[in-house]
Amino acid sequence: MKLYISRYIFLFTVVLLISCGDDQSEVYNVFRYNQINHITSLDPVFAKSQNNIWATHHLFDGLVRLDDSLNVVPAIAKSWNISEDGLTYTFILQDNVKFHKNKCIDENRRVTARDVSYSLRRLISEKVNSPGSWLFTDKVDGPESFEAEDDTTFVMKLNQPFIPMMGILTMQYCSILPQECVEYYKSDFRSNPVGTGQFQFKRWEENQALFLVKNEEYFGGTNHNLDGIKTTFIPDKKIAFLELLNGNLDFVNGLESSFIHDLLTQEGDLLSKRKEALNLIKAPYLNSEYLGINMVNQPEGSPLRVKEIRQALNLGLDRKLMLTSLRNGVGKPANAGFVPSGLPSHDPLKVQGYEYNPDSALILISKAGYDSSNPLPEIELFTNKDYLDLTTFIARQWQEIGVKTKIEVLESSILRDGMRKSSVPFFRASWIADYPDAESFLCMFYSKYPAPPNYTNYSNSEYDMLYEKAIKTEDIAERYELYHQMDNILIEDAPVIFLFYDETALFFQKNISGVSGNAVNLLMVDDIKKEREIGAD
Amino acid sequence: MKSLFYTFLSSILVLVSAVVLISSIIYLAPVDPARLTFGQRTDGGALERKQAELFLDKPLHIQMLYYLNDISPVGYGDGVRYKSKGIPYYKPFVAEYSSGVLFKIPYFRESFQSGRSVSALLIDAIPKTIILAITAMMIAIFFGVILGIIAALVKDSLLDQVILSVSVLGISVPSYVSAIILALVFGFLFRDYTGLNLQGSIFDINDIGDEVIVWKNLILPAIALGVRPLAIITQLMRSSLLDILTQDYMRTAKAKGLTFKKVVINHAVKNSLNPVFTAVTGWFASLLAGAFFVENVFNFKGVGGLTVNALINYDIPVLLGCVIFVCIVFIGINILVDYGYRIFDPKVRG
Repeated sequence: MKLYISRYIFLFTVVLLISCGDDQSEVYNVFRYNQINHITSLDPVFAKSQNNIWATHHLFDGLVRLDDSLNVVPAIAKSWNISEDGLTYTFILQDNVKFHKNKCIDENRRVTARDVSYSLRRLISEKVNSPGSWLFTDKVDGPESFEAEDDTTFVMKLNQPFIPMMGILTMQYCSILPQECVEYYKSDFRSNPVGTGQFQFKRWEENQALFLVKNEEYFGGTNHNLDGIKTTFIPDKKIAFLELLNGNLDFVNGLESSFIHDLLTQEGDLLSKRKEALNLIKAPYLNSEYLGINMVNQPEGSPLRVKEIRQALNLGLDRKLMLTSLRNGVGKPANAGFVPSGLPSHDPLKVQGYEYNPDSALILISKAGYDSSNPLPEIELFTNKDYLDLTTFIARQWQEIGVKTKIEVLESSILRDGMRKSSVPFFRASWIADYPDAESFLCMFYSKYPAPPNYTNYSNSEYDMLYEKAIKTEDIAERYELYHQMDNILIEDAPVIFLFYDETALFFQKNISGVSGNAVNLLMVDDIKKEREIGAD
Repeated sequence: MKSLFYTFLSSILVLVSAVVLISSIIYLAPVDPARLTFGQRTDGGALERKQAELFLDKPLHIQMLYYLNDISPVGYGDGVRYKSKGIPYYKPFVAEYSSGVLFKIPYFRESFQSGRSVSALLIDAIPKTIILAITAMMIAIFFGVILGIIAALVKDSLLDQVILSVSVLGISVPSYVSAIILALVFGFLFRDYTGLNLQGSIFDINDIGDEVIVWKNLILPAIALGVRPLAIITQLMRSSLLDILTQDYMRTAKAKGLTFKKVVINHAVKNSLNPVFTAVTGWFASLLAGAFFVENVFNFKGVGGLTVNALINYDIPVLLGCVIFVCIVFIGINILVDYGYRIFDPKVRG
């Protein structure tokens, strides 16, 4: 018995010793990046947030996609035609697109128009209940609106013209997938994705890491030199940055407020001590940060009911100072409407928003009937803990124009639920473009939409009329003119406090090239080249 | 036999009340878990359909009854849902599509967030937590016994004082505090020398896409988790050995000419281990609970990590699955300890 025990102890020690020396030599050229949030599903109809979107973007293609400058360019569809009345979209497909090899599908199975109609019908099916089903709500009549005419011709029929539709089709929700695989794997398709993308699925240790390998038969040919992509899911941004500095990651995106001073100067450049090791690209990000004011559900006597006060709050905020002191210059002051810079329709000359002007703010406040004998009641601002520093800064600025603000910190999901139910009258929020068209932002103030997108319960008949006209206007200049008019109405009525237009900060190793920032914050690996360090093997 | 039946019955009662209590707390939070499964935009009735799918449109007590019906091996219903989810069931008394009593394996539903079955998530996570807990316990027993023996043999010396005071510190520091300290010191400051990671689980994918088992990620969490039992075992071992060393038969052993080594190892240590092992079994359950915090610090993807993540996302089925797991562990170990005493200790049996 004694002998046995000592044997086990010996065995255990040996196992421990062996496992200590796990070597991870780089045989392949693998691009390694981190995502803060776990991937919940690799099925593109559940690509609701960045974590899922990035992975499904590597794995799948849609009919069309976005290029770096946000133009809609061909992907699986090589050309398309929109009818005079804007209702019928006809797509001609490439005939050489192959699905990834998998046991659920014939080898060399090519994409046909039937796959397209199947994928889009699946997206809107009530049984699947995809978080992306809203894309076609009230825009198509039903599954029969997506029809394969022959192997390479796909026809989509809308029930009313909707000009941003091509932008919608670039979203990951509209990826093309093979019916036989969805039926083979059923609910496990989420962890066995089969698509046509530049990379195909290899392994997923859920919540830990995802590994994709290069698709050698990609129809577009490939320009990157990667053999694989590894995504890790380190939930702590600080640790992810440490891993980047230690060389265990190739790429990290986003900012971490407690770490920012160790990376960036006040002006938003890399610190000189970091420049030797890292590269940085900043790019506009189609994300508008704002404070929303519920226009219907304001408590009795709330000063936010008064337009002049809302305008004064907009004037009393030094956005530039806010960005340099809190975000090291990452982001642009939102002084040209709600539609952020980075979209082609953004035009600071035609849409002039609020600049910092505390004197005019004071005049507006007294005009609204508030003075020292009748002081402004305290305003309650709801936020989540991630934006406590930002809201505190704003509250301090407003103090200078005599506005007292009480900050209430709620848990993110509780805050969002409150916004949806209109139970928080004044809240911090942001809106990310679903597709690169100003309509994706301006829809937030269309009175016929519920919350979301219309979190402020804003209602203005002139605005609604312009919105309805804009989504039917094909002429770009004319449509942009309508967008500008809508943005100017928002500035005048001020249902929101405009804060800033977000930017993405991409940090990557010196041996990586070809990284490009784009405004939808999609990680495009098309041109990424990773130089292998000599002697790495 | 009768007492076994009562134990079983009370265990079920504890389980059901835990489920009811935890789920009421979660359900009463002003959050709509269905909303959290969508992106920033939802319109066109998708949210309402989701709420109906997850039974969130029903009143709270109905939701709970449905859930208890799902997790119970004996339930009532027509079985259509179980069929579509691939849960085997047996409905002996009524026709195919009508409702009746049915027997099935417990159905823990699917995660709201990922749609993956909770049973699969638990089967993934439980072994990691158990490996962690067992390793921690092994470390605690190994070092605790040795330190206890040393302290007892050199009683009242400086070394004894040091061991005693360090063990008092070990008992009073909560495991998540020691976890953070260990992570910072050995996973960050001295990383170059230790080669350990700040965070990580034992199952991972390496840079060429192969599955690997990274045992070294077990070291720090296991030590962090083992510190408290280690300190307690040290003290138990010390006092128990001291107690035995004063017994009459020790004097007899010495008197018959046995060497000091033989006396201590063959007679004293062996006998003084008894109270230590009884304490260890009792500790094991609370060790699993302590693992929650330690796992969170080290991002170790066991049941603790699963629970915390489920809490953040209001993923009710996953959370309840974890709660039920912990309940079963506690109840199971309590019963074991209870019956263990009965078998080994004649005093309790009477």
